Amino acid sequence: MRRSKALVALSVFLTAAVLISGCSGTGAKFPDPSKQITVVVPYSAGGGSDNLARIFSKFAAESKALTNTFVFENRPGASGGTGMDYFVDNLKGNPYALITGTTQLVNTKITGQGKYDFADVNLVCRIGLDDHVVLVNANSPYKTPKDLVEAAKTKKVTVGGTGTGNTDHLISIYWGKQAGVTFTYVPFASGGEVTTAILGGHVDFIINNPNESLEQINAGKLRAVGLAADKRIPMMKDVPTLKESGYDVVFQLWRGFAAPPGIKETERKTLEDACKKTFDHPNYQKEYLEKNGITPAFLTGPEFKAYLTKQKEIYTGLLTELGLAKTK
Amino acid sequence: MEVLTSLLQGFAIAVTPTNLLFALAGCVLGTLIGALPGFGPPAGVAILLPFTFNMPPVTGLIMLAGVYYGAMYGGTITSVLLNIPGESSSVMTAIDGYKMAQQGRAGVALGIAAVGSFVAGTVGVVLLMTLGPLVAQAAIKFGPPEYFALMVLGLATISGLTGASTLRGLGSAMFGILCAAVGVDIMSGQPRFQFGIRELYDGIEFLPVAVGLFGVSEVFENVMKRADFAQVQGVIRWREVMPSWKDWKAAQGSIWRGSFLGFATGVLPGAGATVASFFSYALEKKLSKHPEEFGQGAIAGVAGPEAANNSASTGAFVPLLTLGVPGSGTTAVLLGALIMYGLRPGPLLFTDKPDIIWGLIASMYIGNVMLLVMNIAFIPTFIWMMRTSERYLNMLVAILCIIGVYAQSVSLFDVGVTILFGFIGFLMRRLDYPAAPVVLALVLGPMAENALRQSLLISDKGAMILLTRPVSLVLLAAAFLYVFGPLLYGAIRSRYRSPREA
Repeated sequence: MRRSKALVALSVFLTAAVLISGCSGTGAKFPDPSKQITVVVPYSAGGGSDNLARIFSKFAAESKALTNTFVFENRPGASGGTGMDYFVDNLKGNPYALITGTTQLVNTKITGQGKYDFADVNLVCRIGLDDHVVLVNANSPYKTPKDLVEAAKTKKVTVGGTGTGNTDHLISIYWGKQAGVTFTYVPFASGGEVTTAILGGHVDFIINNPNESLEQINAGKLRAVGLAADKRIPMMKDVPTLKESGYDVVFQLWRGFAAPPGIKETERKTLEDACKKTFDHPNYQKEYLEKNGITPAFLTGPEFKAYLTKQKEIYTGLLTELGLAKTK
Repeated sequence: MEVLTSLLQGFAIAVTPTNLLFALAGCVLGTLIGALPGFGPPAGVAILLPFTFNMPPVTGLIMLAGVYYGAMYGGTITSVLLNIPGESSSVMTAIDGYKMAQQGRAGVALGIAAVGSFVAGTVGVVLLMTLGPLVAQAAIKFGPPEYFALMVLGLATISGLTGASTLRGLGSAMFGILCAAVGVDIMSGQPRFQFGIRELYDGIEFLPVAVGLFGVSEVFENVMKRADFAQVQGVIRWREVMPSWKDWKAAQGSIWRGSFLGFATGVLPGAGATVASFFSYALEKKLSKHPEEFGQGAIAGVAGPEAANNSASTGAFVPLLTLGVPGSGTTAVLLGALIMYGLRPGPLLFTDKPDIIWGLIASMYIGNVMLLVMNIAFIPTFIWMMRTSERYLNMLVAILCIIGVYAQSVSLFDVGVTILFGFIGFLMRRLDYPAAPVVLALVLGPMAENALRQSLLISDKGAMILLTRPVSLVLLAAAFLYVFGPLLYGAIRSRYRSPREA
């Protein structure tokens, strides 16, 4: 037992040493397949971003887009701000490094949980979008988004979510504002607790990824009443968008990759091409996007930047209104 | 009958050589992960997850489940031998387990923990199989008011948990609640007690606090006293490491109670193994004829919590498999795994994919047997290793604490927190303040606070929601009786007796 612990300890140090040595210098030819690519995941192991990173590496190899060895560094904390800051501060100029990009590309700088946003990194690609669906308990009297809005005019309507300032919260605020009502937001410590709260009828509705709730819907425990997207999705053909119900609420969660600042444009472009090649691999579409219910939505780095610039406006407005934007 | 047929089919799947091999691999890896302070079960399962992508789903799931309950066994080893709880659910084990080790009864403590875990694991699997869907329906009825009442009961029992002085115990608990208040408040999204230090956004983590208060402060204490870690005298004989019939009899009741209590707590999403182990300890101390032995090496104080944390980890599978809702951090990672395998965990999983579910359940029986044999067989080895490296143990433990914390978070800040809490723990020992209430309050405090605020948000009639819901009313009444019961009892008794005595 003692020996095995020493071994684990040793391997931690070795990994660290490899990481540091693997990050230095840029070869003449990029990418040099003998060099390791470090993927920083600014969230915990096992989450959505972690999945994105690990499965991407598998299919980057399978599609021969990038044959390098991938190593993963989970640096969770401060809603992704910790990992984002680490990435920019420590991996600047290193083309053999990537970071998974989701809300932390926009939010953490606004809220002061991090120093940087998408403008401080080299965006590589957007892979897809996560949707959000409004769900009620199957026994709920509310059948449509309009029912919820009408009820909120006369009584307290509660929405369970994963924490103040998170996407589900912003959606409920945005929607409420459009409809001229206030939904009472009840934050829980984890997604599992939110689902339990709606299954147990403790809150009136929740806003969740369609994929995560699909089985409860199929089993007749939950009912999907509206989708916060531009158009309906294949997974839930019968569920109307909030737009169809008269509320212009479109909120999707982007998933993509970025490279550190200070690398050459040719290097960024090479990574972008590799990203596209992996994205186009049919098994990647099937094994990752389809299984996780992510809408494929590829964008190049510059397109991704334009998209995030627009998102930033929306998020800054909402977060400021909630008093969560850092006041300077 | 239908259950039995399904179970037999499950065994047919679980006993194929490949699946047996991966169950064993999972158990071994899990034990190692659990024994290393820092890598808790969720991190262990997450790291091994990618290795299972190319396996058939049932094989991958069997291995990951093996890692999960293997880690529950493994966490005991360092708690007993070194006073370092490998994960949060082993904190209670460290209290009496380490005392037993100091008395030369480390083998007995580990033995009874292994047996207790085995019994509890088996009870857990049987309950999961027979009552699963039913229990899950009850669990979701547990809303914020009920959680709040449960946490109040938990916090109320802290006072009676440790040491001679209730006041000191409460003092420690208050300090723990204060530590828990640091970081972003999920209700308002605002950071509290953050003092501009970005690392404090996510609050003070459990692990550095527990490792510091228990492990590092033990090293400081030893250095001050020029002493070494608990040692086992003489030659190690099987008879000495195995729990005797007397030990078994002393621990038996605790194991059974811990098994059922643990399962019930584990089923509740969010409550989990830590709370289960803690309730079991409080219950055993309350029921014991010799409550003064608790904290001084009571075998029931090891057997109960160990049984409870194991059956709780099985209980956490109930909401996962029947509702698709993860009941703990580890099952949340397993939920991700199920999705990656192309399965959709939810209310229909039992009927849609019976082979996978029953294969998994059968493998849990097998895994429990493997772990029992493995743990009992290796106890003399663990103790032998302790003895051979006796002279260097203080140093090794210090290094292990630091590396364990660093490996988990890759943050030097957390290492600093560990050392700081090592000093705090050392001072607390000197001033005779118990350490366990600090870490327990750190876990329970935020849960209680969130549940209270959630209750008030959903309530139409303010705080009355806590008293108008029957379950929460009963739990709050129990908490009240726990704290004030002895006083009332004393008052009533003296009133009845006084005329006669006078």
